Amino acid sequence: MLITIPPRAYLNDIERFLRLVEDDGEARLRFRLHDGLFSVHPVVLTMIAAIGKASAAEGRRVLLEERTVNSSTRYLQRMGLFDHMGIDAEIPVTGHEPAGRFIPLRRVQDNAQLNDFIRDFVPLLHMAPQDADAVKYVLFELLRNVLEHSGSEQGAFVAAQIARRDKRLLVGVADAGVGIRKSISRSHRADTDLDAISLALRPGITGVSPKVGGNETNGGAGLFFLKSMATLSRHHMVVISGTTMLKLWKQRRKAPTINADVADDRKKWFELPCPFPGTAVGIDLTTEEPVGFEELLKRIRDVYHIDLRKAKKVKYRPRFR
Amino acid sequence: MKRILVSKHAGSFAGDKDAAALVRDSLLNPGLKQGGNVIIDFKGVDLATQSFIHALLSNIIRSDPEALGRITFENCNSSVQELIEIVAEYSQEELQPLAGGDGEEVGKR
Repeated sequence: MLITIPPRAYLNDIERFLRLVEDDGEARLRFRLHDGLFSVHPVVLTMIAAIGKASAAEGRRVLLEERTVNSSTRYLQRMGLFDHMGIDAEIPVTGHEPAGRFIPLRRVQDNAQLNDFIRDFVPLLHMAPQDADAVKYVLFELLRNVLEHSGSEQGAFVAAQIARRDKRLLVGVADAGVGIRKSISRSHRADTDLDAISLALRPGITGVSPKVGGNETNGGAGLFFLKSMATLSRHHMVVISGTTMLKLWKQRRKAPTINADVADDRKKWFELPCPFPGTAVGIDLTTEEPVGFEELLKRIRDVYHIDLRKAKKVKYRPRFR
Repeated sequence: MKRILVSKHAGSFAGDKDAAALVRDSLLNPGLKQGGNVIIDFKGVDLATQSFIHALLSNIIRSDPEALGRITFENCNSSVQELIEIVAEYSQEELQPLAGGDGEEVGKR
C-alpha cells in the first residue's frame, strides 16, 4: 500500500487524501510525504496511524519516503505520527505544551485509556466545563463505540487540533478493525458499506441486536448523537468505512434540522479508490459558540422517535426530586 | 428505602457502561425485586452518557415498566434528567426489528 500526503486535506476536501491511498500490490506500507508544505485534518493522521500500526502488527515493513524537514513534517513529528508508525523520521522538534492547540495522536485500547484521554482533553478546549460537556460526551461515546464494535486489537487512534483562524475544534478518530458493515451486519441487513453507514447513523440501530432500540447494553445512539452535534454546530462530519465515505454538509437553513435518517441530510457519498480497512470519523465543532448540551439533548429527544414504529404509548414517567 | 449514590460507582462523569451494569445488577435490580422503592441519587455527577443511563435503566423498564414508578431520581442536573427521560421513553416503546439480520442477539464483546 502507498499513502501519500496531499498539500491539503480537510473535511470539505478530504477526497484529496483518499485518492492518494493506493494499493500498489506490495506487502509493505510506503508513506510518502508531500514535497513542500502541507496541512491536513487530524482524521487523516488517525487513519494513517491506524493503517501503519495494523501493518506493523502484521509484520509488514513501514517505510517513509521523501523525508524532508519543514514546519509540516515537524507538525507530524509533534503529533506523534512517526512514533505510532514505528518510523524513526529523525525530524528535530522543540517540545511544546500541547494544551490549548492540539492533542497529539493517542491510541486508546481500553476503558482506562479512554478515561485518561477524556481527562486530558478538556483543557484543550479552553471552555467552561459546562460548555465542554457536549464535546466531551461525543468523544467519549465515539471512542467507546470503537472499543466495543471495531474488533481492532490495536484499538482506536484519536487526535484533535484547534484551527487558529476560526477556533474550530477538528477531531479525528480511526481504527483498523472490522469496519461498520461487518459490525452492523451481525444484526441487520447491509449489502453495501453505504447501507451500513446509513444504518449506523440511525437512532436505535446497533450491531449487537436486531431490535430497534438495542439491547440492555447498547442503545444504538452513539453515532446519531455525534451527527446531531455536527448538524447543530453547522460543521462538517465525515464517516469512512470500507469502500465508502459519507460527508455531511453544513445545513444552509437558519435553524438546522436533526434528521433520524441520513437520507434526509445534505450529504455526499464517495467511493474510495482503495478501501480503508476499518472505520474513521472526522468532525469539526465550534468552540467559540458551543452548542449547549441541554439544548442538544432536547433537540435529539424531539426526533429520536420519528423513525421508530411504536406499538404502545409511554405509560410511566420517571420521578425526579 | 434503598439509596444508590451513582457518583460512588461512576465518578463525576458517568460514562462507563460496565459501572452502570454493576450498579444495575448488584444494587438496583435486587432492590426492586424485593418489592421496595429505590432512590437513585446523582449527587456529584456532572455529566452522564446515554449509554450509561441506557445500561442502568433500559432493561429494567423494558421488562417491567411499572418498576419506573418505584424509582425516584434525585439531584439530577438538567442534562442527566433529559437523558433519563429519553431512555425511559424509548424503553417503553415496543419496537419492531428492521428487515434482515439473523434475528439473534449478539453477545457483548
